[in-house]
Amino acid sequence: MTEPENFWPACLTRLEEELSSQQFNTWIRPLSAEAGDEGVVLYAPNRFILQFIKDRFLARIEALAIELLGEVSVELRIGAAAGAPVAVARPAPASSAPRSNGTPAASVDVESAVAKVAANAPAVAPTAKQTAVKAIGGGHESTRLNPSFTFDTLVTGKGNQLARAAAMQIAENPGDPAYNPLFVYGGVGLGKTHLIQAIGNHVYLKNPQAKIRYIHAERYVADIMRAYQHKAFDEFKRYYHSLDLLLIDDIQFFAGKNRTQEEFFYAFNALIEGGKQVIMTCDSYPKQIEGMEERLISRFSWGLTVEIQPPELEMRVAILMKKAEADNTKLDHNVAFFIAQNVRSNVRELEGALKRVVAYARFSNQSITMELVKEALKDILAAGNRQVTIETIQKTVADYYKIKLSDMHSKKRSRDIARPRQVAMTLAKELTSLSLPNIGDAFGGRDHTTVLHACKTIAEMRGNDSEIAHDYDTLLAMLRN
Amino acid sequence: MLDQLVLDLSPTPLPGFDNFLAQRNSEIIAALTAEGGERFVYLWGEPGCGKTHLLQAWIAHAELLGRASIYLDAKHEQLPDFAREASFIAVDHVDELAPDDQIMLFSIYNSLKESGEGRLLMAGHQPPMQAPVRDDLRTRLGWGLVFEVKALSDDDKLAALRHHAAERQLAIGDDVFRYLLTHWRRDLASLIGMLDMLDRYSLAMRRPITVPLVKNVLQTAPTES
Repeated sequence: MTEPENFWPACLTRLEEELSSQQFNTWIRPLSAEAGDEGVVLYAPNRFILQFIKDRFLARIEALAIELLGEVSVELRIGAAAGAPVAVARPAPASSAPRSNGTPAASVDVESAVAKVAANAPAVAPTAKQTAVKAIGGGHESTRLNPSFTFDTLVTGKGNQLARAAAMQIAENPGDPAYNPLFVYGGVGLGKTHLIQAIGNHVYLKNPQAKIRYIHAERYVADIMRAYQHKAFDEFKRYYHSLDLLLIDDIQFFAGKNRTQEEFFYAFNALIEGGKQVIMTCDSYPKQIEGMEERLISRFSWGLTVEIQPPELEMRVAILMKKAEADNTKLDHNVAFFIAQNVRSNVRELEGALKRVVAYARFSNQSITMELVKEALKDILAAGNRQVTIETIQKTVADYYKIKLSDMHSKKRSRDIARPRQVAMTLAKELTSLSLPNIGDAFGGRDHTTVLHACKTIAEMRGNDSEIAHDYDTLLAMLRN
Repeated sequence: MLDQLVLDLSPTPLPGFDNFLAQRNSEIIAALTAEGGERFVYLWGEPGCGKTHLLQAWIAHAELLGRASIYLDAKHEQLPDFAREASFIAVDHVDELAPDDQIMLFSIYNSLKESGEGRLLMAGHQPPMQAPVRDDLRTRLGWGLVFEVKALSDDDKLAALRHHAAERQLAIGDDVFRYLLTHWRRDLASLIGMLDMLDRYSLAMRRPITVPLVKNVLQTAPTES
């Protein structure tokens, strides 16, 4: 039987024989161990390695422990063993990846060093508390803002000029009650995050002492849970209540999360009362957020509510040109125009298309010409052309409202039939490239002015009738899939 | 007569970039292996076109580089929160992400984006804008590099079958492969699976793999694999 202190070296020798050097260096070598009479404790430098060891190797290590030490338990923890040599996490130089990949080894070292500090520090609780309430320190880092999101890099067009003007006002004058809170809403991928971060960056530039925090709502929810678990709730509260500017993204993530909504309610009130600026984004108009407390919804509308709309063609071209310029890519205006014409839905997809073009140019070692763009975007364009047909739209809408498909073409004008028909016409205009007369024809030979009227009516109703708005969005999502 | 028992000694080649047939997909491999390339990639294509193979090859590539990597299949497992700590994350079958997992992937995406480190490779059946996931995730699928993984042509499949047979040291005539292509399911996974089955069957029957043998097997094999 092996002495406990010799267990880990013996175990390492065995594992090195059994595993590929790749596996051994990546997963086993970063571990350190403490073996005593009561059992073996293995320390992994981070949670990822810990989980991986647990899934793949723990059973084998346990078997080796029984073989070498007899009936003992093996426990996994994060950290480092008390007497572990500092170099333990470094893969053996002979087998380490080529020098050009020096970073991974370095990062493992840093991580294990951090873990060691944490494990050796007498009180572990405060570190846990600090992770629960991150970014209390100063400097731009603590704001969690992306420094490249500024007003200068934001392309302006019809869809966002109002929102931008409001944002500039607030950036110059944060806390002004007329604009507090600022509620920015609009579809996904239209630049809401960029806009509000531009405010944060502007405020920071003017006053680096200001306590600014940008956070995504999903993270905020997770942070609240973590604060609870680590009993660090008072710190959490104090931190959020002490901010000068709170930017919170995608507030719709709070839907149905009652505890979060309550905490946010207090933080919100404390900030607004103290004259501190609160800025939120959301994918829909405040009144349309489902699962959100009434008292929050009404507060969201206290200040200014602005919408960001999808970018029109000129703006999409401008976005491409700006993006290319930032990446030092030469892009002709007509090429940008072609991409912008074909990729319409949102800014992210537009940026994705540009990335594809640049990658293809690099791959095939050619400059960016119209031919190259057409070739590079072939599959994206083909996917976009896989258009929804007007028949599908009519069928989907009829099923949704439980009316007969023939009612789509009928002359009936009772509301329970006319309204779905108008919704279907509006969807047809949005989802197909058919002309209005063509759409009218497809709905029982109606005039194009009838289609136009339907589109106007539905657009209006979506603004003030949440039921229609919900129906429309649901149908849109169904048809796009 | 008793069948010959067959020991299960067949070697299974691991998915790698070198055994992925890449004539029409070489651009994808270039993008996946480029140092300092785009960190977010989404692959889409029909079932059987090789997406899972590419994801696993990419993970193997990451392990060669000594990077912590993880392959997650949304079809079979929930996405674990600790996944975000890996530096190469592959998520397969994003079309089948449960609602909570969509939020998890969204959150992983955002934390990678924010940290400026790590890579995320995702795959699904649909092009990004038609993927059946929440809007905020869908637009993110299309934000990085997007590739359609092209299904193999019949010639590509023939080459793949020849290659697979050679790896296993099987001497099989082209007429067998052609017969399979016209009489069996035509996605590569099914074809390769059938080849493995023929291998075992021929050993058990002690007969070489010929078209008559294949006919025999196809008559007894389930038509849907």
